[in-house]
Amino acid sequence: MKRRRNSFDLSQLLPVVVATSFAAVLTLLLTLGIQRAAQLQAASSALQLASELRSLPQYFGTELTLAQRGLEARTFVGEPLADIATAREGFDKALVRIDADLEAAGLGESADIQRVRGALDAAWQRFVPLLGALGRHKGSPYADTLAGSRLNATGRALKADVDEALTAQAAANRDVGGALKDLAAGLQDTVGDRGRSLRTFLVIGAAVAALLLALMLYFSLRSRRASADARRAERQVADILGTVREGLFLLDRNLSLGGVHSASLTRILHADIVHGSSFEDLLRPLVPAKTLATAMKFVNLLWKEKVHEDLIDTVNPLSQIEARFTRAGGGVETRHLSFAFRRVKSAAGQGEHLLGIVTDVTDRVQISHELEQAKAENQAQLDLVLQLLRVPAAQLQSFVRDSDMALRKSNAVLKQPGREEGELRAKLNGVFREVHTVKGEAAALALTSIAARVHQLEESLVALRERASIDGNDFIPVVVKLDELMSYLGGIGQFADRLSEVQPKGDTLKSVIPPLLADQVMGAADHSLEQLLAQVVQETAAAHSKRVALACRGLEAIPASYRKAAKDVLIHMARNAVVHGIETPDRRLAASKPETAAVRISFEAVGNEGFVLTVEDDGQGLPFEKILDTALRKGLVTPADAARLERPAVYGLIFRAGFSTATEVTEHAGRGVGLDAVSQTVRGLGGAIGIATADGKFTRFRMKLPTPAGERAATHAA
Amino acid sequence: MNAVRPHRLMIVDDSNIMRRKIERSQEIPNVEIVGTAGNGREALELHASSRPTLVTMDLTMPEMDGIECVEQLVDRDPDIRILVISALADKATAIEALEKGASGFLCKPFTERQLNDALVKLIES
Repeated sequence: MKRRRNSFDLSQLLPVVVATSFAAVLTLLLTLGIQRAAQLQAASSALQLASELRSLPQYFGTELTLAQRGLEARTFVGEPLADIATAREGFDKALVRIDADLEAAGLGESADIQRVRGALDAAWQRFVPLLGALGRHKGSPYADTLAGSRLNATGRALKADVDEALTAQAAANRDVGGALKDLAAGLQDTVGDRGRSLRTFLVIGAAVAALLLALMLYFSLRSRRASADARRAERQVADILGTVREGLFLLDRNLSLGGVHSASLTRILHADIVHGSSFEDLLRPLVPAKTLATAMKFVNLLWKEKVHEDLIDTVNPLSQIEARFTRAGGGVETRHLSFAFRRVKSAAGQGEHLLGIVTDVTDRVQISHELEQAKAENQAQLDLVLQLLRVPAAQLQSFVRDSDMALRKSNAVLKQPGREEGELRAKLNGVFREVHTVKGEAAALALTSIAARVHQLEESLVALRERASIDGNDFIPVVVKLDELMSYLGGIGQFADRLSEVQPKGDTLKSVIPPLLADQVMGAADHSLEQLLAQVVQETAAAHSKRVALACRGLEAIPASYRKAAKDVLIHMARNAVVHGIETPDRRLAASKPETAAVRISFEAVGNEGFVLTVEDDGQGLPFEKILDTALRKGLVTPADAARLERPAVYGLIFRAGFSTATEVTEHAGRGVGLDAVSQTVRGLGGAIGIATADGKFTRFRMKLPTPAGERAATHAA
Repeated sequence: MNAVRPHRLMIVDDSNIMRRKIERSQEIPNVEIVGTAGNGREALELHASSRPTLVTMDLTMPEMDGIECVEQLVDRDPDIRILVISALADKATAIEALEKGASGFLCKPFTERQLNDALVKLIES
């Protein structure tokens, strides 16, 4: 993160750095150029002086010759002598200026130039005293005589000096002239050097300036492009925020709203969004105070680095809220809103902002409500169908007929004239009695869904009955509900009619629905009871390494209302016979009995009195001692009682709750559902159980059952 | 996940079934279960002896409830990562636990996958 930040700054700084360094280079080049130009100027000046001086030795020669001739001719020589003095001083001054120029041209240290300059000086110094000597002579050089003028002493001395200087002049002309020529040549070189160097600097400078210009153009283009990109990005962000359906907004650490938000936010929240206003104020009209407090705590959790934002989604108290908004045209509108919050991760670091997302989830919530309702209705339908399938079609039809009649009667009661309070109450009571009867019958047939439906109507009747005063108008909802109930029962009547077509014998469904469902719906059908028992016996025998043959007789004659009970009882007793009654094959062989044991189950009518259901095995008989022992151990009898008990009474103990002689719990017996359950079922049907047994020979249970009440009723009804 | 030191997980829940469920469901390679506790007091004792780095925390427990336990655990080890696992009856209570220093919340009942996802995020946080 830090690195990116630096590189970001550097890219911003780059143009400045480049421009500054280019300017520095340019300044340096120009400074050097100016220096070179000054040196060039000085060198040129020195060169010019040196060139000018080259003619001076010649000039001295001319002037000396003039002076010599003048002296010989006794003419006035003051002028040439004064010219020589002036030129000599001029030469000296010119030398000083040359030195200064050499210094300025940076040649003060140049060995070549200084050597030449030294040679010039030496040549000049040899010559200059001779010239200097000319100035020593004061006064006129001539003495006037009658014979004319002649040189006086001064003249003669002057003449001697002039002659001497003239003699030296040739050498001086050569030496000084040569030295000046060398100096001029050296300076010529220097001027050329400095000129080239200056040109080079100027060319480089121009190149650098051009480059700088190019770079400046590049940077300015780039910055224009960047700002164009920024403007485009800004436009795109604005487009997104204007189009997105979610309400998007930013919150800072004080939970104040940011300046940018999506256009939908205003629409979803029905509020103006003010930059810098508090989120809490925005939320306040939407949620109860308690939710608001929890919500603020929740949002603040997102600032805690330790909290993982994905792991607190489920505790968001704003994940679904119900908000009420006043409609523009009046009235109140309820909307379901969902708020979500995300930490904003930006390049500048993390946790500067939270992004809030509000969605209007009203449609979703409604759909899910509808789905739940549909699911509940489906379940209710399924429950109803299952309940209906448990009832024989004939019974169902008769129930629907009776109920329909009762409800019609109620309708008729309600239509009877009567406006007095007393009359109305009498009508109410009449309807209540009819409806209550329908409910009772539905409950008796275990049609709980129908009973619940009727109960609702009954409840509204009760509510009406408890009112202090009633009038005719109060019956209107009752009539509506009554109509609804009648059409509901009409549907059930149709179902019962169709059911009777597939249940020709008036039984509950058997072949039209798969066995598993049939078992679930109404218990195993009777025709398969024999097969079922055979299966139970074989499985149990195999599990206990016993060999058993089952023989059944008359089971198809078991009345419908006994079938469920008979099935439960027989399955239990068949298992019991195999597990407890039958011996293992080797013990049977040892007792000289057939290896394969026999279990016989039969159901037969006993005149008009009822039926007998028999379960018999040819096993070891009931173990008297063992039963007594167990009963004592389990505290079912006292030792004193045990001593007195007759055999049949002892056998009866096996039907007592909590009695089980099986020493281990197996899948087939000994699970705690003892023979007491069998005994209870039989007694529940109004029957009784008898036991006959002989040691080592057989055990026989005989269950006497009365003719079932339903059967009698059915016969009666028919 | 590639850290050399394994994350040490402590399970705090008063339900034996829930503790076993979490133990069995946890299948993140780098997480080692250092122990289970049935209430807040046991959790603090276990923390002292086995120094867990991750905790799954029930909220309603006897002796010392989850909120107080979260507070004390964070007091002892500010870096400890706690995942509150509770039925979502009261969001305010869950938020209180998070304010006291827990890092995340997982709603009961949960699937194995939800638990493992939550533990991975807990390690990330």
